[in-house]
Amino acid sequence: MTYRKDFNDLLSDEEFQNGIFNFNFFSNEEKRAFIRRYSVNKEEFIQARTILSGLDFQGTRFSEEELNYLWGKLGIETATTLSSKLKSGTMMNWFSKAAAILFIPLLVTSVWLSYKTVKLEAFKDENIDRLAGTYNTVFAPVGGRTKAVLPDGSEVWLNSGSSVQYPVLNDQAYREVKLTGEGFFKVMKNPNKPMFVSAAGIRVKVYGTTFNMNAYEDNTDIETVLVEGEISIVKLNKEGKPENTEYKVKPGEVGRLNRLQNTISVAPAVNIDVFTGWVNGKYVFRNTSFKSILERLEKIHHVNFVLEDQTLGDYSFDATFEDQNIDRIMEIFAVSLPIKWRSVHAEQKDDKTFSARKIFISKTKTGE
Amino acid sequence: MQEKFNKKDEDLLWKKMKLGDQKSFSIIFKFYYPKLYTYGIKLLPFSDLVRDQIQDLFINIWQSREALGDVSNLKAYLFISLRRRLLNSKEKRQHTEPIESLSEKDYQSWLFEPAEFIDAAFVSSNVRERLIKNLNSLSVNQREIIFLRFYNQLTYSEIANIVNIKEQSIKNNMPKILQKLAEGITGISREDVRDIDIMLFNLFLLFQKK
Repeated sequence: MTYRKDFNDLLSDEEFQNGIFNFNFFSNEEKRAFIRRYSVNKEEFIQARTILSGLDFQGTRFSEEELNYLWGKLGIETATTLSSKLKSGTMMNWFSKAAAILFIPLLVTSVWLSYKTVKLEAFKDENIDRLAGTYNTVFAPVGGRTKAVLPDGSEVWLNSGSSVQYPVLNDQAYREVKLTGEGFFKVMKNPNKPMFVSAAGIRVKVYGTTFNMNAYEDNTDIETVLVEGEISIVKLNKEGKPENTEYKVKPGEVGRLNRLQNTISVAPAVNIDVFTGWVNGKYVFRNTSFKSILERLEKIHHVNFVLEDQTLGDYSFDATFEDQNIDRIMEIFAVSLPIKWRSVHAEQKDDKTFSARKIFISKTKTGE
Repeated sequence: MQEKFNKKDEDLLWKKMKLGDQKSFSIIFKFYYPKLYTYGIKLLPFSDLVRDQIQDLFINIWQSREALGDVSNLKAYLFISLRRRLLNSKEKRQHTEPIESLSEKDYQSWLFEPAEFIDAAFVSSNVRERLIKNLNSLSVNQREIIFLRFYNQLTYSEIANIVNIKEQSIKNNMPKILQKLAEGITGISREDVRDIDIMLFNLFLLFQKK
């Protein structure tokens, strides 16, 4: 291996370490700048990434209930409420008490140090409320899959280009989760507090189940398939508020929102693997048109397909792919369909990002 | 998982806490409790004792809140306080308990288990096992430094404050620690996984040559 002489010094550099720790959160441009700045070669980069962030440590997790219990055990809230009741004899709750206590020093400070008014803005209660609802977002890069563990212990597998957003801690909206793209959820049981998963016009209510939700922005159908447990689906109106009608989905069924007609239907899922296989890197298609298969593959691999003959899109067939790269998949297509294909590699665009690789598919003469 | 609040938010929470705002304090408590517990249980593998000390630490902060100054890094501050408490109670224990039973359990402090790590897609299970093995072969002090730096994203100067070693000595030792951590591991990417970063890397090199 070709490591530079001072490689271990480089690995020990705080700034370099921060770059490696946060590499996943960088934009392509930032990634490029980082690599250029330290002029690491490929082997060095891989080695640095393995040593510095190859082990993803998971500390002990605490459920919201447990943290509430522990917070209660501190005895702070009750003690203060009691003492203020004794002193003032009013039934004013601790919150308005706290606000009143706060208000006086704030008023004084603002009179005496008027130039610090900007800073005082920070004391408004919305800021605290916002913090209580601090959101964490986990992304899966295009072409990759990621698993996230939510604060309550629920697990989410994210498919290529998807993300899930959840509050870091918030008593009220704790189990409110937003999904973009596709996610496979294993939700921790909590009969008292359902989890709500919202995505592209629908909201799913769950109490502790396993289900898959395919809600890529450009899907016509938003599909939610239930593996076990119980869920219900409601449509969200334009303001994002849930409508009244709930659609129950039983295990083995798929709830489908058609976004063109704005209708929800529930039907048995013929083959669950078609919906959930991707979690294990398996993509299963049953009686699916070539066009739909390509659309699915575009989301998983960072590629664009161009069908030079539209009639090709209507071929329907069964197929199963297991974590194969796109060239291998194309070879398989070429064996079973009368097609030829050529590909144009990713290019750097004006904004310095990279376009997806383009694959052109045309009909072969012999296939006619 | 988010490791720290951003500086501005943290200052705001701390200030409001000092003014007696329970909501701010509960946010600090619920955010840092799991991180403190994870650290504490590594320092001293007695769950009840660690839990008691964390409760006690927070009660103490609340009771003396008006006398407390500003903290430049709340996480580091909490870690220092908990560490001091746990090491003190360890000393006390050593006087009251037979040495043998303690040292037996003590052996487990700073032992990392495979179950504590989630899979990083770009590391094969062989490399992962090797990394954990190498990590556990470091001295207890070295493991603590790695834990604070890698898994808590604290700076060398904050770590120096927590473990009570000179910052320069951590910096001097780091290359050696990392070399040990890298033993038997070479920079080969997993063949069977689509590795976006490496693909990007290749692209960058391609364009640089142009």
